[in-house]
Amino acid sequence: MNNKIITLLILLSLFIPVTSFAITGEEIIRKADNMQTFDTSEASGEFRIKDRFGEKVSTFNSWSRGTEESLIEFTSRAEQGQKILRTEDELYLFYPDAEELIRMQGSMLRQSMLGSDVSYEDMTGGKDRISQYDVVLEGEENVKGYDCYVLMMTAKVRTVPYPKEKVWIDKVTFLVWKAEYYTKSGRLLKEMETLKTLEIDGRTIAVETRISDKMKTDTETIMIVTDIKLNIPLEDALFSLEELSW
Amino acid sequence: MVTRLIPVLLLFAVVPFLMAENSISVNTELYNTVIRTRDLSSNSYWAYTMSGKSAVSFKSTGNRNVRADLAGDIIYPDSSGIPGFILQKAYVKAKFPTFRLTLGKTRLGWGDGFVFNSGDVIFGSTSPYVNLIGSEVRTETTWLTSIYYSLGKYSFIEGLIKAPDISATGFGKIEDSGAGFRLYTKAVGIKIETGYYFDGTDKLTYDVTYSEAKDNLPIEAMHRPYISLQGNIGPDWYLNSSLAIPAFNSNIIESIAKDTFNISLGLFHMMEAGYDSYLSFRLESVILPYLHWNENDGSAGSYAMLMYPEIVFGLGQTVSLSLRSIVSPIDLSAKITAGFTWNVFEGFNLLTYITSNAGDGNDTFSWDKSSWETGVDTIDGISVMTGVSYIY
Repeated sequence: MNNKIITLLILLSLFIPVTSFAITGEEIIRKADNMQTFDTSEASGEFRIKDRFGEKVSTFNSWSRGTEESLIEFTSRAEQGQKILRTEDELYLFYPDAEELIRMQGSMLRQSMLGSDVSYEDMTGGKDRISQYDVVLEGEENVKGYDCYVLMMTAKVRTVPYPKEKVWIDKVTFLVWKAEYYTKSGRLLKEMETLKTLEIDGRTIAVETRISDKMKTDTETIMIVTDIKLNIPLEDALFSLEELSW
Repeated sequence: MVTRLIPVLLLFAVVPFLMAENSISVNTELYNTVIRTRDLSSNSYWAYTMSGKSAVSFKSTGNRNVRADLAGDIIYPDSSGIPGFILQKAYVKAKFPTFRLTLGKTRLGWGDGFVFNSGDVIFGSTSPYVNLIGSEVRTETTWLTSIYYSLGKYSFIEGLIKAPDISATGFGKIEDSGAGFRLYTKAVGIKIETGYYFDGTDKLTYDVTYSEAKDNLPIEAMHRPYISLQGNIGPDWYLNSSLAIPAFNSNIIESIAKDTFNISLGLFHMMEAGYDSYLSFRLESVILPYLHWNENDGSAGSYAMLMYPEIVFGLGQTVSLSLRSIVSPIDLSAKITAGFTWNVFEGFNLLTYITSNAGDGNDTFSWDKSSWETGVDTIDGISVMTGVSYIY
């Protein structure tokens, strides 16, 4: 019996390194993307934008379906009623005071969303990072007590927000605990870290993340999801101009 | 004086009842203003005043199928010492299973364009006399009833009936009403919007300026078709066109249609200007090809072309420097506004605007206007405003 267990353990120990190297960088990214993609979601949250003059808070409600469709409605006083609709190939804004519908294309997508460290471009396109980046699995590291894969992603196309990204992805949950965003020459621009997570429907998702701008002092954007529901029925009309302009 | 106060008092009287399921916001802008102006004898002098406005809005929040907004501007100071009040919005919208209904005073944004928009056949967006301060330059609202019907994810049709203006002499005549519709869709990556508006008013808005004799022509009503396209070729582009066809005066149909035919077009591009900074460029123009292309043939308001160039430099996410201008290339005059805004705290901005006119006395814009109208004109050549805005 003991011999059998010992044999089994030896065999397992032989397989462990094989298993850890068997997974490729592309597969890790694909799994990480899949873990953060839901059939549908409904969430509420807030952006906390900090600089040396204090903190600005913007609150929002959001709905999403798959990787391509999302609707965000801002509820904070300064932006109340402003909405962003993203569909597979379009981004629209609605300003309620002017009753104005704006279709965003090209360079307009580079504008900062509400003065945060997140641009409209960051929100566009699907989460298919495999087609946009060359991915290299550089090794493994422990982040906040979690074993992570360390991957370097180098952009294959010019349409992505950052030419290089280094990400630390949990080996068990495939959650991104940390990410660094670089220029093409390797200069660190921004850093993202996950501060809080939530287990829901068998997945671990980030509900509080911090993005700090390494080119500036004393600035950071914290994004907090205060409430989230996954895989709930949502009407088709939710992701249309009709709902956007409502 | 009492009548001027009534709307303001009424607005505040209903506040306690509105608070239960409402979101109330106030956007106060206050400026120290130095202007070159004129006295009753038309002599120029430098004036200093503190001016501003508070835009108050009560938005409903209780029902996802019904939305309402009651909003107005309290403007101060006034020569009477009493703040003025302008009702900007008073509407209710209801979402039914198959269509959407809007009733009240509000705005409909037809066509594309920041300053010049030939597709805006309801309100008219081709006048050069706009305030280049702020994020919106066209904010006019009107009393209307509209129905919105979705035709799919990116398409809809919208119809409206506009009530005639109420004047001091009484209610407007039914034949002075407006009515129209628009179709909004997308094809081959281009937004396509087209519509028609019947304008029953017998007064002509600036956007159908067509001749120096406009006030004398008996136009009782007009047909206003338009088309608006928007796409991207590197820069974003938009193109609008409309014209006004007299509904009853058959003998002047051709000349009016030609003179009111107008095209507005625009380009917008944004580029990085160092880390976390950007430069944006916007160039718009409105062309009325059958009006005057020579300064000596026409006068201010009857020229064939106006332009709007704009450059904005954004430093970080909170500071922006802008240079905006309305240019009349035919008479070589311009209104130029340089702006500085800094979003310091949540909802709080520091603002500075310097506006100056360049041109001769009879030009579209002039430093020393030759036809100064006391009570109508306020700025004679230049104004400097510095102040704050706060949304709370």
